[in-house]
Amino acid sequence: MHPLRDKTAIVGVGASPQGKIPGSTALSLAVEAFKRALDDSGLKKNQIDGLLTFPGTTRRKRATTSCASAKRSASIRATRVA
Amino acid sequence: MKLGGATAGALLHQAALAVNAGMANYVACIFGDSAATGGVRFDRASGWGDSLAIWGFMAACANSAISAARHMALYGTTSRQLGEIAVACRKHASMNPNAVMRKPITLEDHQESRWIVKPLHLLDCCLISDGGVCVIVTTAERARDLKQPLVLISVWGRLIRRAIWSGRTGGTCRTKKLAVNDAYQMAGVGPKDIDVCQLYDNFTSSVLLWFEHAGFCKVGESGPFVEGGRIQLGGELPINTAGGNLSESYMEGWLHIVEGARQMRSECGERQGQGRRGVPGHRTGRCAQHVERDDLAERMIMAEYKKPLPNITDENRGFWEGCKQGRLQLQKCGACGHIRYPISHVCPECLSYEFAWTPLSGRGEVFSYVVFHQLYNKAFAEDVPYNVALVQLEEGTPPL
Repeated sequence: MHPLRDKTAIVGVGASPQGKIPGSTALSLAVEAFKRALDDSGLKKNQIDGLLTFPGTTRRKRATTSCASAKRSASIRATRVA
Repeated sequence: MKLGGATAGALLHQAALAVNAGMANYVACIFGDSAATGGVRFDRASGWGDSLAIWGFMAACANSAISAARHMALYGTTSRQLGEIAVACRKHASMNPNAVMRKPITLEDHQESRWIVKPLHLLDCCLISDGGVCVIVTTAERARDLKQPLVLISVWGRLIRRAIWSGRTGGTCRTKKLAVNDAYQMAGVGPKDIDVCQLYDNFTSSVLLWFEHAGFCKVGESGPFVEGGRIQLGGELPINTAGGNLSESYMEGWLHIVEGARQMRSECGERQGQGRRGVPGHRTGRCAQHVERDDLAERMIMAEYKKPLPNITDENRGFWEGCKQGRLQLQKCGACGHIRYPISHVCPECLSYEFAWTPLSGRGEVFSYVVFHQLYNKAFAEDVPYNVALVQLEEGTPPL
């Protein structure tokens, strides 16, 4: 059996409202999803010590943001694993 | 990390490795996009080296459309069969309060929706959405102490960066098959053990190909496979139970993982699938295309010509000079005689640098073709609708 089989778990999932959301940015939506996933998991923000992000497709300057800054915005002290 | 639609899977993969290697205890994988309000149109040029936009071939839709056209020509797959996927995803979205498109559709609605890139209709295409998604990952051991029912990741397939869009190979894609086979092997399960599927649905035709690659049906048989409600809730193999990219929201596959976890926790109410043995989240992706931009001074300047022009570089100059003289030519390897395409200074077969630009016969057969109805670039306004064909040259190069 593969040594990593069944060794990893998804413990929290969260999604922001979806669709066309005027006034939102990729960052604000990412942070909302993060809050909801934390609530779902029962974990506290400062227990999260790894962060992996995908900044999406939005290229417009105004809306463009790297999800990595979600970390700062949510003041997570994170070990950057990627 | 940016791997297009494969990113969600790739980040989970990395998170799994990180928690098991002790690099982190709890990893948050986060996606956020404002593609809808940001006006993203997914209209980028396709191709390698010299962009296919020169020929009017652009947008994500075209890659799937040309693959669907090939599938239809080879196996008799119909647009109505693609419609079955759109109808199933919409039906499931109608049971999901967070879905963007919740009004059920019929096969007739699908057939009557406008052409985008023929043979794909509007309702074959995913949404363009604003939204954020987060998935938190830890080890199985730590997860046992947390509040939610245990959802374990049994497997993941290998990640393979492909040189080209699988769509253009017209159906079977070796790398996707390898990835799924890895996953089955690691989990010790097969297609018959799967109860519910969350399949990447940027376009309906991608879903058809997943059924073939993942061994749910034989190559070429995915069209009839999706008929008769098989892929709807209540059927034998319900897919995308929250509505998928097509109807829930286009979060590039991230919501497929969320829904997979919720299905495993049995918390989906009326859209809960039966059985809990496994929910594979299959990912598809593409590599970034490298377009040489270091030689802009050499661009052909034609004041009247508004359509995209090639970026001419030292590497591809021979091809474009040939075109100027009305000659189709590619590099023939000086060492092994292999005809190189895509254009490259190194032979992909024998790694030799030697080559000579060699005229080709110009004979071949149409591999697949599409009709652009959607206008992605204003320069083509007078041409719409127009055809773009892929031709398999008799010299055996990949279709161009």
